[in-house]
Amino acid sequence: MTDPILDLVTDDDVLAAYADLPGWAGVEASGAVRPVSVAAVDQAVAAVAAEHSVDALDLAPGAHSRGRRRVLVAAGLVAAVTAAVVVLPSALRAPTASAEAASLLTHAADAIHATDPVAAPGQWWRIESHGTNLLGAATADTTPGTAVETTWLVASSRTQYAAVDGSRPSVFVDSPTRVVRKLAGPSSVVAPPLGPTASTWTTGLAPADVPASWQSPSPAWLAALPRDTSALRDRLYADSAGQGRSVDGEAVVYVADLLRSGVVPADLRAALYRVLATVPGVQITSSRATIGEATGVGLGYVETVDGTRQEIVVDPTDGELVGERYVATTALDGIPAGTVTGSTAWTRTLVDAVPASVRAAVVDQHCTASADGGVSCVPARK
Amino acid sequence: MYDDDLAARLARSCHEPEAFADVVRALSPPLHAYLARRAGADADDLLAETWLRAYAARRTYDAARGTVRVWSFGVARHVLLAHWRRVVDLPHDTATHEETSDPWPDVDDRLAAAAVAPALRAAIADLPAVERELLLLVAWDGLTPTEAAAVVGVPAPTARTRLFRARQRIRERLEATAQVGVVASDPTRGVSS
Repeated sequence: MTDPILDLVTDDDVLAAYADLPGWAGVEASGAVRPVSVAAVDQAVAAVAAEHSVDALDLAPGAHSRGRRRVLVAAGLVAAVTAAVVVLPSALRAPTASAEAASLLTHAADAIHATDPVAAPGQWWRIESHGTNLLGAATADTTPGTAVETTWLVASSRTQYAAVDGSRPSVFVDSPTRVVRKLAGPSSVVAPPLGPTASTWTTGLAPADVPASWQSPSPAWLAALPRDTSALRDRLYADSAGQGRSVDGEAVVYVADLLRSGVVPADLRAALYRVLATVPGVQITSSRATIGEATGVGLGYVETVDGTRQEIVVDPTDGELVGERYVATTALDGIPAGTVTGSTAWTRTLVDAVPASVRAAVVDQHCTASADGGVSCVPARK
Repeated sequence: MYDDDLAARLARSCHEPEAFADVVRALSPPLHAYLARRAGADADDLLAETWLRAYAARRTYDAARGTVRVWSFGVARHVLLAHWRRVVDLPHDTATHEETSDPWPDVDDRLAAAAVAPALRAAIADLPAVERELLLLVAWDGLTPTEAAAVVGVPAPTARTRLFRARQRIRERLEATAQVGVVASDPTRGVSS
């Protein structure tokens, strides 16, 4: 391309040459498109705004590029699991975090002052969450045996009333789920129909009546968990062994599952944060992480299997879980690196009663619990 | 908003993220049109994706390499290429998309719908992908050859040279068609130039 004559050609020369090409006006005219909609620009502005808070988190794209396949986000709903009890003595597990980082983490965990308001047994915790989640659909395509992964970010809200003493069934008020945007997948695939209406429901089962676990805790079960860091850590690793994508990653998932219940007492929350500080790979992502309107200390763990970073945000003044966030630190199934794949803001308050309007609307799902903690429901038809 | 103004907003957004929204609002119309011409109904989603990428990369903007507008087109182009790679993975599309970096059939549909003569369409189809891309950035998106060069990532003199040669080849092709007196209703592909 080093033609000495053509190097002297200017932009205007090129444009003039094309202007007298027969049919050129038609080529230009074929580019006519409908102007962008206000909604599309707003969606782009909102998508960028959602990234602001991630900005401080020092993403490291490309750090984990192998062996990952699927985003599995556990936020919101957690399947009941039966854990095989395998005791892993903590001495056998070599910590990978540097001594300095570990001490910083321990310091951060110690600096969280967990406190609870004084709650009477007859009161209720009102646990409110607003968040986004991944919704995935594997669409069979025209070639047999192949499937295309399509993923949307969907938003929903839930208010749960949980009895302080665990003796009465929780009541859930769910908002309709709406699609925020498509994250990956072919344009031809449209989002599946999402529940169009809000629903107010209960399993009809009190926490005290269901075999308790990290995913479904009862007050008695919580009271019996050790508060000693080392003993609690051993229990956590034993209960989560054999589950999830990695040993340490699943320990983080179990802690988040338990905190998400909204009923963990302050002394146990403090102990859980100290345990998290000992989990190899757990880092302070930000001293001022923001989720929704809440700010707190961000503790994160990057799941090396798929590059997903799970992060919990804790208010250092009372040790409450105020938020959770999932970020794809590497591109995954068409989702670009840096995408927030889920984020939930939590608030918890104490109320004397479930509001009458909620009680009037509640639908009993007629559930029964099995000995292993599984819950199955037969929704009433009429 | 003028380019200098946009560059100032972009610089400010590095420490004041809210300023980025001004850049998004100012440049979304041309970027969306660029995406809509090449990806149709996916343009809305690709626009959001483009701005997310641009936001993440806002600190790397270098005014010496072009205006904010040109820079944002470059980001959109990468998003579009990734989108096409996803589309190409679809079994029902593989037959036609294999050896091109752009979805030429979609582009050709657009030309056909605007009643561009088959011979001209065939001539454009036979251009190397990079020349076709430069040509369409100029014809459709109203970029100058220098701007199109920056978007595609080739030196401006190279882009001008290639555009000039592309125009010559199209012209020769049209003249040959006119002499033979045949209207190519089924444009053949793969004629080396």
